[in-house]
This record gives sequence, structure tokens and C-alpha cells, in this order.
Amino acid sequence: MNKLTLIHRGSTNYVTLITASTTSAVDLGGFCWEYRNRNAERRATVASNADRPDWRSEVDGIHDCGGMTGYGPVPYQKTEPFFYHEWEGRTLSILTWMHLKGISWWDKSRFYREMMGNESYVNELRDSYYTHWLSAAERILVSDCYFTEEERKHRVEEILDGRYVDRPPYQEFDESQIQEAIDRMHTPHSLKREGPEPEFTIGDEVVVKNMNPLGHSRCPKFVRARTGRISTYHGCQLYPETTYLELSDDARPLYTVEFTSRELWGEDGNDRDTVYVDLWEPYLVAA
Amino acid sequence: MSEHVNKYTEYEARTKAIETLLYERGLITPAAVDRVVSYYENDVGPMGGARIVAKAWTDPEYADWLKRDATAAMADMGYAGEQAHEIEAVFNDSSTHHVVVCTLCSCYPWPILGLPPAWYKSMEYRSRVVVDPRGVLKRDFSLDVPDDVDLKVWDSSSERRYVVVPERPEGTEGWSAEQLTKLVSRDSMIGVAHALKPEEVVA
Repeated sequence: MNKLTLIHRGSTNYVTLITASTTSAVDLGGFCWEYRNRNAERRATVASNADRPDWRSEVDGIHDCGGMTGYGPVPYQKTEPFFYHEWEGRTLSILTWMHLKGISWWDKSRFYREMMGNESYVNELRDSYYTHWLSAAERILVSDCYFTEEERKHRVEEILDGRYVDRPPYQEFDESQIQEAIDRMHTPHSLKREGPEPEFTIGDEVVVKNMNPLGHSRCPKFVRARTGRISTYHGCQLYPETTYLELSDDARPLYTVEFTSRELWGEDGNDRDTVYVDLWEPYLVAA
Repeated sequence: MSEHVNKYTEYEARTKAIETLLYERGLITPAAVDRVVSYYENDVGPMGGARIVAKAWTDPEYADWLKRDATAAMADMGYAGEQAHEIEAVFNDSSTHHVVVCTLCSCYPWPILGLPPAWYKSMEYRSRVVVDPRGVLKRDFSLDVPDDVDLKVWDSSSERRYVVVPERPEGTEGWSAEQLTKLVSRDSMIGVAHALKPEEVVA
């Protein structure tokens, strides 16, 4: 399946080298490696940006809303369609394909969603949660050089102006290739990985570290500096903090930690209720 | 010159823009996008969870397996995969009520409940259910949790997923598992409702 085809695309003025993908993601035929390689310099800049604190951006943001007040009553609806608008389903589908192809993964997608800016995050959520997925997909695809922001904006304008004409895709997939991807959605795999021995055992009292991270974290603000008890241990699992920009095997012990309502909220809590949060070992110290 | 009427909203245009650019890059095709939309609309949904709960109600051995290893027990019934790679079932009873949330985003066990409803992903639910679950359940879901019942909130902050097994309603003695699935609402498996009573089922 290593067919090489050289095609000159006069209209877009780039030479496209199509080769069967050899990544570990679902192999779904060709992909425009050459387009990415031509942007190699920009790609290197993007990679090195990952080390700069301001690139990680301040994402200890509004998405982490456990405990906040001021949003009002829950807008409960008994029933609703899976998707209110067709674009929502297509956005989620695009993001799913990005995951299937290894372009993104959960922690990377979450990070990009969190980076959309606090005001946008809340305001657009009122339109639809899928605005977050759309925004993240756009920025991942531009950041990873699948197209430029200029190309993207230009295409949006073309569409809004009615100048864009649907055209056939660059290549069609076999039905079997698509089915393979769907089968993969249905196939489970264990989350447990190789990693260090756990420091804590069930029943241990632990304190969540105080922190103010700049990058992606799965430690909610409402448990930071709070004392809890280890409820269960889940083996080592991929640690989001180090794997959201670049996937690796970095797995750390993962626990479910139990917090009493009183501990979390003081006088505004009660003596009966408990909150369970899954927390990775680097967030915790012995009490 | 005819007036151009823009028939796309901004979100529609932005979606179509990245979609068509990816078609041109050879990354995806319309059929591929369609098929995954269909996966979300048809391949997953709360009927899976309802079948699992109904089986747990009628088969004590299965309920026990579900308690010990929900991932395997659910996979055995054909429900597994993305967003249920590791799943835990928490059981409501006369002294404990559970409710599930993802305060940080919208994590939810797709294979057995389908995609989450908009309210589950809202700032309103995510922010308050960890603080005042009783108040939220009473005010926004008309669910009264008595004072002598413990309430446990599960925040899905990792890739692990949680599902609530509601209590089996009274007056269902002798019901088959298939009949019982009609009582297991999606909301009851998140923990914001009890399972339906027999009289509440719309025939």
C-alpha cells in the first residue's frame, strides 16, 4: 500500500505527494504530506512554541467552573435532538476523524477548546456546545499546518458569499476503510499503562496541591488545597499535563479521591454529601 | 445582477470551510463524515444503558459483575468502545443517591447513553451540582433527595466514565427485563431523576 502518486494541482499551485499513510492511526489512504513538509519551517516554529510559557497560554480558565456561581438555573429540557443543527453533527464528525487519524486526541482537543478565550467559551456555549469543538478543530488544523488561517478565512468568505461550489473530494475512501474506523469506535482498549508504583493506598488521606498551572490540567480548582481520602486506585493512566501537546507513554497513578461537602465548601456545604474526583498522583501529597 | 442571499450561518460556513479544505487535503470525504454523524445518531444512545440496568435489576449475578467490573459487564452485552474504555456503575439504593457530572468539559459514557444533552454540558449544571446537588436536583429537576439519604457526586475528570444504576421502581414484580427497559430513562442514569414508575410510562 505504498503507492506514490505525483499530482500537480495548478489551481492551488502546489505539488501534492500522495502516499499511503504509515502512521499508527487508522490507515485511510493518502494524505497530503508534501503540503505539510513545505510548511516544515513553520511546523518547527509551532513545535518550539510548545516550550514557551506563553504558547501554553493561560488555560486555567473558565472551563474549570465547578463551584462557580452566577450562571443561574440549569436549562433542563426533557428531550432534545442529538444535533439541533446539521453543522453540529458534522463538526463532531470532523473532530472524530481527526482523532481517528491521530491528528488530535482527547487531551489535545480539550486544551484547544480551553484556549478559545473565557468570554468566547461562555458566550458561544449559549449558542451551542459544538462551537467549542468547531473552534478547537479550526485552530488545531491551522496550528498543525493542514491549511493556513488565510485559506480558512478565505473559504469561509467564499461560502458566505455564495462563491464556493461543491467539488468532488480529492480521493474517495472504500466503504471498508470507513467501516474500519467505525469498528474502531466500538472497540474497547484498556486505559491502564506501564508507570511508576503508586505512592498512596486506599484510605490514605491526601491533600491536593495548591497550583496555578498555565497549561492544560485536569485538576479542578475546587479541590486544590483541599483534603480528601483515596477511594479507589486505577493503575497508571496517561497523564494529561504532559501529553496534551505531544502524545507519549507518560502514565502516572490515577486515583478516585473522596471529598466531603464540608471540606470543600465549609459552612456552605453539609455533613452528608461527598464529591468524588479522579486525580493523578502528581496533584497529590500525603496529608 | 441578482441579489445574493447568504444561506449559511456563520457556524455553518465555518464548518463547511474546514470540511471542504480537508476534502481537498485528502483527509476525509463526504461519505466518511456522513457515516460518523450516523454513528452518533444511530449507533449509540440510552437504550444500551436501559438494557444494562434492566438486566442488573433482574439478574443478581449480572448486577454483581456490573459492580465489580462494569467495563467487562457492559462489553459482554455489546456496549463498549470510545468513551467507555473504563466505566464504573454506581448503584442508587435507599440510603445513597448518585449523580454524575463533568465540571471541566462534557465527558459522558457515549456507548450506553449516547451524546450528552445540552444541559449536562452547561455552565449552570457543571458549576453548581458539585456544590449544592440537593438544591440543583430539587429546583431544576424536581427531584427530592431526602435528608436521610447520602448524596454522592462523581466528577468525570479523567477518561473513566460513570453511569448511575437507579433503583428498581415498586410495582414491577414479575416484569421482564425487556419491559423494565421502558422505565430506565436517560436522566435516571445520570442521576438527575429516578427511574420511571409503571404509571408514568407512555404506552
